[in-house]
Amino acid sequence: MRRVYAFIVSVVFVIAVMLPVLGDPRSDSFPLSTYPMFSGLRDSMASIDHVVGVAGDGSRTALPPESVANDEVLQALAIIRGAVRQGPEATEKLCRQAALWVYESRWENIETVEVLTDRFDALAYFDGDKSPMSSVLHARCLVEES
Amino acid sequence: MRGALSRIDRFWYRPAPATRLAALRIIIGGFALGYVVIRGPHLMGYADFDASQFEPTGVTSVLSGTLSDDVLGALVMITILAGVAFVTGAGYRVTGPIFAMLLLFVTGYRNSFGQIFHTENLMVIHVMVLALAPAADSVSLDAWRRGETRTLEPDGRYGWAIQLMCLLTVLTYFISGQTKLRNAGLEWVTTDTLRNFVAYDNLRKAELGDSYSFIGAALVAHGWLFKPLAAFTLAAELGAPLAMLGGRVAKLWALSAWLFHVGILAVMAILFPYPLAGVAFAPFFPVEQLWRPFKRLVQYRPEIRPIRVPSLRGKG
Repeated sequence: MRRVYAFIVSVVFVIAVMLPVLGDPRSDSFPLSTYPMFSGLRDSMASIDHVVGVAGDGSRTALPPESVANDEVLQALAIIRGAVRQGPEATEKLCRQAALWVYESRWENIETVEVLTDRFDALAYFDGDKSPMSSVLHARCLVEES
Repeated sequence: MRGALSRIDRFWYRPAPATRLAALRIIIGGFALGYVVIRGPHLMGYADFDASQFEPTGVTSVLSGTLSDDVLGALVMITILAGVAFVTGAGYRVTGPIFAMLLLFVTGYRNSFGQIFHTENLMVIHVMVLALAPAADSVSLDAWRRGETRTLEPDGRYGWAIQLMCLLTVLTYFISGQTKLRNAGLEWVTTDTLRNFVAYDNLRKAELGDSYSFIGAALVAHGWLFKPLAAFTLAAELGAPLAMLGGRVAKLWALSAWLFHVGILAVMAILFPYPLAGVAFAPFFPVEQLWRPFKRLVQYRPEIRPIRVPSLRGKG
């Protein structure tokens, strides 16, 4: 009986873990997964959805993940990307959320917050060229109490 | 046919000490419990996320909406309590599966807001296997309550769960490797893909105000490094099933996989705590021997030898 139990449990687990392999290799779930992260082909061009703080002198600072989500950078990226996909109302709301975070965190000098999609050459970026090749502004808002 | 089935049975239902399975319960369960305790505030923080951001996955697909502060907080606290029972082996037949299900749920909830993380998958799967195995027959409150003092004989009923955890570990790595081949083919190794991924991942961290790997950022300037690294990555993943041969092959593979994660941490600042702490590979090792030195210390009794005192008889 114990052997039968062990056999059944083992087969169920192995089938469950292998099942995602039968589907789309780009699909994902938890905890059963194909682990598709970093699995495709990739060139050096990258579009980054992010939230940036702009100071009075025009200097720009990337706001941390906590400004829109929590301490997980990928979670913040997903939140920003989701807002960009949903459209102007969602990006405005996200912008105000980030601006309120800046206000409550008392980040000095930051006067406005922008939600942007910037396009970079990732290899050139770490070679010293950190300016985006193109930029799309989705929302801009002032840093204020509410 | 009978011969083949018999060989499979001998391989799978291999005798193992009850203490080894118990040690794995403590190590893996202890890690999972520690994870929930340390990440508790982070896990409960998902109650603050907007309902519009909710994209349920896995078991959380049964939810029609997000959970409130109180409910999520209660679930995390009960998970911790169940985890304590799991690690100590108290009421294990009930608390084991309860902890496994709660762990699956609270980690699944964290993965339900547009981003699936891949850092807890194997930990949750291992806990689920342990919950369905007799992992509290030894070194547990249950065993102590039963007055179980004898050393249990190695038995297949402890060994199969260990074999299963080993197999599931190697399968997750193998699947990851075969996904790369399915999505990119051998070009994953022969092109600059890995180099571009390292640059891209560090770039997005930098542009999202997070810390990134200075090592990775510096190395991307040296493209020649990345094709051998890509080949090593794919070899470690696709070669994972060889670890089921056991012995030195298993240990060599576990070391390769651990180095793979050290490399990921170094060049991409991505932390996979479960394998980096070595816990993911614990089923491949005789972990019950870890407490031998402590057992010797507890059982140590200094030898008392009689001291010879010279006789005083007949002297003055």
